[in-house]
Amino acid sequence: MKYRRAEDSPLFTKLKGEEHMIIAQIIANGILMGFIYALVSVGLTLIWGVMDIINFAHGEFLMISMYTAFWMFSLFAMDPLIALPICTILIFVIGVLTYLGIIRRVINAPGLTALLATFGLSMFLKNLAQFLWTPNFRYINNSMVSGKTIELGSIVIGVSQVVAAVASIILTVAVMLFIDRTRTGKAIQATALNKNTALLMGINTKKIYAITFGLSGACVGAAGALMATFFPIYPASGALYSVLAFVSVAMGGFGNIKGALFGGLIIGLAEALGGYMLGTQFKYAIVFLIYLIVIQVRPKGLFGW
Amino acid sequence: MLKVKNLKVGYGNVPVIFDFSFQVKQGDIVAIVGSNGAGKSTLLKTISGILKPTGGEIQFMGERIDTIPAYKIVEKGISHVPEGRQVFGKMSIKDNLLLGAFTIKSEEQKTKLLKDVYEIFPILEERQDQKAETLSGGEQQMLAIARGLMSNPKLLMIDELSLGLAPFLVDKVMDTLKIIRNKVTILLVEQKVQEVLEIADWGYVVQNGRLAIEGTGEELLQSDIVKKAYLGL
Ligand SMILES: Nc1ncnc2c1ncn2[C@@H]1O[C@H](COP(=O)(O)OP(=O)(O)OP(=O)(O)O)[C@@H](O)[C@H]1O
Ligand SMILES: [Mg+2]
Repeated sequence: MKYRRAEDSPLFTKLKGEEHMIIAQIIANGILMGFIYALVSVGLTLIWGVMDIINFAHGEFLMISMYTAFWMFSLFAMDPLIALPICTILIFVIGVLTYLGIIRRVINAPGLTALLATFGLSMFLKNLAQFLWTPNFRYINNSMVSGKTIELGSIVIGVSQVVAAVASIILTVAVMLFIDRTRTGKAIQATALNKNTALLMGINTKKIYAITFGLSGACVGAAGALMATFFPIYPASGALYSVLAFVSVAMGGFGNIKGALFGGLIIGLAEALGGYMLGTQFKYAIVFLIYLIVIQVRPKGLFGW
Repeated sequence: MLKVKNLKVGYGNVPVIFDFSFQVKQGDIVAIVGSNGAGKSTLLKTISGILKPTGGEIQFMGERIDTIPAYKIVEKGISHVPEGRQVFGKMSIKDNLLLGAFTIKSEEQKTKLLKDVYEIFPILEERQDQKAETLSGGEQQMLAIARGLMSNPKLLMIDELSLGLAPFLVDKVMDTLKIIRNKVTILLVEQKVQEVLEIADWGYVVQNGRLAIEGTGEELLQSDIVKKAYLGL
């Protein structure tokens, strides 16, 4: 289909007049989602940065956290926001156990072993969830933030999204400060930069690896509880977000926390704007298109070195 | 202080050190010299626990250390300044130094150690907030040595001390070693055979993973092996 003048295209008409309010609305939604993606991505990039491993089970950690929030809610009527610390700690522990039980044994193995191990874990957890909890979609409908909205001028945003975004920002900044300022954080940096030399400083690098896996789990555990307030919960509910997190990690530069933060934001925005302009079925096409463009221009990502 | 007995080390299935024995006495400066690929760095990595021996044993202050993990060996009082500096380039100079003191619990002692190394290498204090990768090669070597001192070691092992350092700086660092030697025992691995044997109390010459000859620095400088193979006389 051809339009004689650019102004005749639906894209252009959509941008005209009061439609710019809709754009503002969509940007707001995109940014809110972006911060949540950022928190998921920070967890993923941490492991890569420190251990050069891609954790394919990252999305399943998210899914387990969402189910944890769901069961806390349906069994004990505990609000997801109150269950958040429980989810965070639980997935921290699962992260540490994953390192101790699986990763530690394969980290020095050649080739794709570590990758296949996390891939296997991902499959296992997905199937386990299906077996235990059926493939049905579950929702947390009446948490304390569900269904409420805030109006800013003509923009209407969900309280659950705002709470999730604000909590994600706080947690992302907390992780950054932890890595940047604390003694353990500096030991994590040293181990990431040069493992053998870190050992020579007296750093127990195995412990650092375990902590890193735990911290990564904590990020995604917190994100899961927050997302459970407005996303459906099912065995594959984490998979999509882990794919998006891979994209944002690659876009920001593998192992770079700031990169993961910006990567998450870009994806949130691209998804929202793409969905609006091209239709929901194409929203991820835009995300991957932007990713392809970024890695053409900067193969190591926006913040990669 | 350090006793290495019948040590055997290899990478994978390739043996590199064959039945090597040597020792370091408290308060001495001991040198290990040998040509490229002789196995000097491998020896130091085994002492600091980065590599595990396939045979023999290592004792430090009367205690076996070849069976404990590398990070605990630092706590025992051995500091290893690795070959090629290996500073944490993306981190500040001060952070590098503080990582050197990772095993030191007391903040007071850390501050004191920091002050001491800044006295020896004033340039590091001037640049303390700069990233380590912005230092020149020689400055990075100073940082690596200073970082090695930050764990307050009983035994300081330096691999290729002179690498990348201007001759006057080599002299300066050697002078520094002479000053700190009353507190720290020093094990040096060097290619600059002449310089290092001049300040060493005792030296070992390694060839192909085996001990070729040992003796006082002077004796070795006079020996035919050293003269022919390393000094080109
Ligand atoms: N990581 C490794 N994997 C396999 N072989 C290695 C490794 N590192 C060293 N080697 C081999 O072990 C032998 C001894 O190496 P080493 O680094 O100890 O020598 P060196 O005496 O320190 O030499 P240089 O003076 O060049 O530093 C060499 O033949 C080297 O090829
Ligand atoms: Mg060497």
